[in-house]
Amino acid sequence: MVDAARHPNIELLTYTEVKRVEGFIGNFKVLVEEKPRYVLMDRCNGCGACAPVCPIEVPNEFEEGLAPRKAIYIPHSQAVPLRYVIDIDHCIKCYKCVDACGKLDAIDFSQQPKQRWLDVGSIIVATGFDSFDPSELTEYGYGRYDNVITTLELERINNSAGPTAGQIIRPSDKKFPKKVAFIQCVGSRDERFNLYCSGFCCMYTIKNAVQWKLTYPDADITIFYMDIRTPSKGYEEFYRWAREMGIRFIQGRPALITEDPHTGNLFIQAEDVGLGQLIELESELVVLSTAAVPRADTEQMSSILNISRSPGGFFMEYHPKLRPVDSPTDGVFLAGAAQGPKDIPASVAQGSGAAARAARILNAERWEIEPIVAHVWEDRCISAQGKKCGICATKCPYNAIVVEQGKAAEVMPAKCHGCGGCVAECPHNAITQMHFTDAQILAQLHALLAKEPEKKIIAFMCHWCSYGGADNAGTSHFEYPASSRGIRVMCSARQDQDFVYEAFRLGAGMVLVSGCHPQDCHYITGQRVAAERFERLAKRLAEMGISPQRFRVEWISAAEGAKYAQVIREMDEVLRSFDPQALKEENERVRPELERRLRRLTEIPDVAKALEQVYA
Amino acid sequence: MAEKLRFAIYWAASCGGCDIAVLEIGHNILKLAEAAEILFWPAAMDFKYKDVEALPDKSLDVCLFNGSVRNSENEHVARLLRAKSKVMVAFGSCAYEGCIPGLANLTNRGDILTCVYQETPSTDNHAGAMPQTHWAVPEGDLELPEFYDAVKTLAQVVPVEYFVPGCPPVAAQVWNVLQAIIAGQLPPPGAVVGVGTRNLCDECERVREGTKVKRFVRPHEVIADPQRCFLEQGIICAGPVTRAGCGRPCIHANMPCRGCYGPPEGVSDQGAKLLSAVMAIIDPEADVEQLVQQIVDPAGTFYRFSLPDSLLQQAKWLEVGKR
Amino acid sequence: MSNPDTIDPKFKDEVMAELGGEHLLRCYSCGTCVSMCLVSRVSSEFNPRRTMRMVMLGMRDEVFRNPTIWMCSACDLCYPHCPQGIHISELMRAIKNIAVRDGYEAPGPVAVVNEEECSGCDVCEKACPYGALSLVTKVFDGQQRKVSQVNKNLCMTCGICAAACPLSAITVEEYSNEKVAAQIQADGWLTEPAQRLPGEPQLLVFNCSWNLRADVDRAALTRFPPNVRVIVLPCSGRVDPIFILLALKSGVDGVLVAGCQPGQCHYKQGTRIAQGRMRILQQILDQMGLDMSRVRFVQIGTEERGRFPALVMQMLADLKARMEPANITA
Repeated sequence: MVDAARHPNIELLTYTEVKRVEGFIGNFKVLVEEKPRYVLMDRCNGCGACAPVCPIEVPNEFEEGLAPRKAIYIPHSQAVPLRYVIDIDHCIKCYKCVDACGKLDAIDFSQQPKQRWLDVGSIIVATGFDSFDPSELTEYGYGRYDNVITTLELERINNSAGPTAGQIIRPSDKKFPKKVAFIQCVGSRDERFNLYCSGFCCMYTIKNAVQWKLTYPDADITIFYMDIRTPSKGYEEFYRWAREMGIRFIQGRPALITEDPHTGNLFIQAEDVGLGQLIELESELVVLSTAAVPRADTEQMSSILNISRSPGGFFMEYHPKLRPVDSPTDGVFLAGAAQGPKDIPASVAQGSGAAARAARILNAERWEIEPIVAHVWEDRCISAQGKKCGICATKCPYNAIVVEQGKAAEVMPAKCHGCGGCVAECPHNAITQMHFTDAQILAQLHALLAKEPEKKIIAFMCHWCSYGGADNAGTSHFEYPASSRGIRVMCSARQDQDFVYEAFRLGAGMVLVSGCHPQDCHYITGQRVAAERFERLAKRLAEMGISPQRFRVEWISAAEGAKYAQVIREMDEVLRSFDPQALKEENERVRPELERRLRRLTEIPDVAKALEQVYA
Repeated sequence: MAEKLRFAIYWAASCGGCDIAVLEIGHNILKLAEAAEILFWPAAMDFKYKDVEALPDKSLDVCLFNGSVRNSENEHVARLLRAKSKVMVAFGSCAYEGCIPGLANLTNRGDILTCVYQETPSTDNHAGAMPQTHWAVPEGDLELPEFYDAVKTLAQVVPVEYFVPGCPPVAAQVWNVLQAIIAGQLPPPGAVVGVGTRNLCDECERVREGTKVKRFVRPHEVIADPQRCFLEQGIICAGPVTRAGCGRPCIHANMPCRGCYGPPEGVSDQGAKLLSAVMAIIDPEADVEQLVQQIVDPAGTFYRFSLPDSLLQQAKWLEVGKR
Repeated sequence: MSNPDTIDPKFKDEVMAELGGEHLLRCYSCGTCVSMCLVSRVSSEFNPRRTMRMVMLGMRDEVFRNPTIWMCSACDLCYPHCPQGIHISELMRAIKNIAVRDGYEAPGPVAVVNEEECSGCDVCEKACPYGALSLVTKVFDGQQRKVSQVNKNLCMTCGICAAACPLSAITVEEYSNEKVAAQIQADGWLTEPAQRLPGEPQLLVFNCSWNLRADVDRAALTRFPPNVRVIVLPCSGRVDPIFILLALKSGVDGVLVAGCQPGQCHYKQGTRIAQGRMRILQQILDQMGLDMSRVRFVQIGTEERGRFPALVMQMLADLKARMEPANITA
């Protein structure tokens, strides 16, 4: 940390919060707010004369509440920068610290929060994790029984710079505990709290147990576990060493801890699964390995940075295998436990990776972006006419569109990933997607349905999943009837309802709209936008008189070639079951309504010209 | 012609209902008159104690004794009639198990007399006069029977051969018992006669669906569904702990059974058994404390007719004896 | 080694298709359920984790032939603690349902109805937490009557029905009214002056079988002084108020009834039923002019180490203080 603080190219802003992030990759503007320390950084030299005279004591967060700190304090002796800070919520402004500071005169109660904008090219989020509060697991008695503590509390007790100067003592009577038990998976792998495995707790518990056993060879140490997870290099060997040292490993998750109030000892009820017998172990100290949980401000940060979160609550990576340090927003990277619980080697590796990827942006003069970005026709956008809309912005998964009333919507190309959802959602056809314009897609549609439309199934597919699935069907030789005609767009969000109406207006026998499964969408929320749209559309089509079996919605992944083939087979069978004459008559009946709805199609720039070319 | 049976019918601490119950047999009273001679029935005609005292011992065939033993006069006459009778029948709930007068055992002599003679709103008794067993007046000595501290059943003062339960026993049952006596076809002594052995539910036509109680209500708080079991409607019905045989007049009048026929065969404490049954059928979701609050006057509810004859009473007498 | 010929790989699917068995495969044998289970505490043969494992491995015959699968009373102490959210008692019920369809039966013993005495009043059906009792119409001496019938596979022998039955027509033999009455009065403990220590109260304790977990508490049951008599019944819901009155009229100084905490009752409803009965019994004693503090009801959590012996000794001390001459009011 000291090296980082001293590096000429690194500006360390401590006690500072990120308030807002605007802009796009390579060109971010970040609003930060420096909270007041009430201590002048250039005058304070960390001498520490102030703390001893301060009359206020509060629990020390760094010491896990096991020791006090003063209202004027440094977080710990290795803090960088080594400057004091005043906890203004508890300070009573007695000014004793001012007196003690004397000539240095470093204390200034008039300080205010300071905001400033930073121009940055890339952002790395390495905000870490919090520990699960085991008081929620009432059966273990944390918070009720003195001698049930967490691992972090043990780490502080064990630390020579900690509250007990490294003497291992237990809270109730300050005696050295000769019998200790560790319990794993407290709050992890648990339906009631967090489903995931926190990953590093097995190793740190074995480390603590080994450290204890090496110092006190006669100690009686037990570790209760469900599974011991020691996957990385040297870890399994370390586990074997711990076992051979005489540390007792019991496979069996304890259900209950009770206390003898006279001795302060704990009684742990568990089944020794290996033995198949119930045991009750008496212990003088119990250490709980608590889950790693996302920090409390994760939700707030994800909305400031415009990055999403995975089901466990940690920040979501762009792709779990192929881009594990990228966030879905270009230019924002993730490192360490903020992306998911991991230990130090993994965090360091991820940090190095994130740094390298962030540096690429800074070193580049130009940055290549997708060409298939959205583009607003300003004369069509009603926001420019002072009306309230902004639908495009609400559907964008990347916050790439800015809408100010009185001005046309503005797309930031660097942020646009090209899903096309905004294009399909705009009620005024005022926005288009480069290389996937309505004119181009409609032209395809008209060409495909020029002959014998009633015998055809039009299949709209998304590039990443259902198109991949169709492709997979082909390469795997899953046969399906030749009645389908495919139209590919990048995302199912691009599949405009007008395309479906137009397909039926042109007489298509069946229409399939398809895309990714909800959790697989390449554009995060594109599939969800599409799903809501198609649910409404299905109802309207039925109301208009189109037989419901003629319109189908399916979510097919790139690996599901068999499913794609099956869907087309089923649709083909349904199509053949219709009487051709009846189908034509149905089309005739709905055509006037469809034409009424589709009148605006020809107003869209270039559509009329493209269709002329088709029929030329 | 066979000799007529010699009857005595006496009322001790009684409301008179059991005497009227004998009259309820209607025209059958003529048949009774044919078969029996009533030598002592102070409720109906002008008989005196000296009439009984004049009788030889064991000269009465049957004594139908109703009413509980509240004071020394009741006990005196009970003993007198026991000496003069071959067969003593505890007739009606008071004699059998204490009945309503028995509820006085929730209090004691001192509190009763104080309340009656001094505390009631319409009493004006500045002198604090209280009844005395002896009082000398110029004209001579006045005597009153001693008011006992507790009500007893007939069998708790004299041996009893048969018990006829009911408050009062219904006419059909009374006639059945009388016919059995006349015909000389009584079961072995100690029996409860004229009735069944199981409980009222055995004969009750109401539908039982297995519904548990979410709320207890008192009979006046609701209009009960006449087809469904009272207990399943949250109305405490003593049917399960009451001997069958009355023909269920109360049930037919859409009122729950109150237990006046006493416990069925084999039940040693009617109130405890009713309590046990009633609290066992509560709904799993209902709040137990609330249900408990909804039962007003539990001693009166569960022990309405059987208090002096109960295990509870014996526990009380043991305690009183210790003090 | 299990015989591959008797393995049924479809057994787990069968259990999972049965209502209650859906989450079988989530179980990763952590043992939490077993360590919470009080049946496992008293019978090492009963092990829900092992049973689930056997189902997963397709050991159909072994599972069904194991008599302990019938011992799960659905007290649900385990369910809130299962980290995989498996409703274990429901899963055990699914296994039992399949067993019954396959022709297996619970080994018993079960409650027995005396059909001659039974009146069909239906109190027992409502009292039973397991729906093990229902009314059937039978013919006796040419007459049709409704009587109660016990479903052998559902009866957990808690005895709640035996206490609830107003005619005492249902018996669980091991805890019959006669046996309990005999235990209350055995050795002239209450009636023989020689059996009483001067100045010491006689205390009768009814404890249920499932509210004590720690060894130290279970051992205390047999280590009280001679003026304390402990009668252990399956459930506090088995305690008939008549037992308490019998003891009082025989001269006992106090009666303590101990059950489980609400929500922990081994037989689901027993402790609530006992609570209702005891609260009202206390009111009746009070109305009768008896000291209601002589009869107490306590609900003990299995995790409350030392509470049961402490409550017994406390009540003894209170009863003794009552006996002091200064405390007898005129």
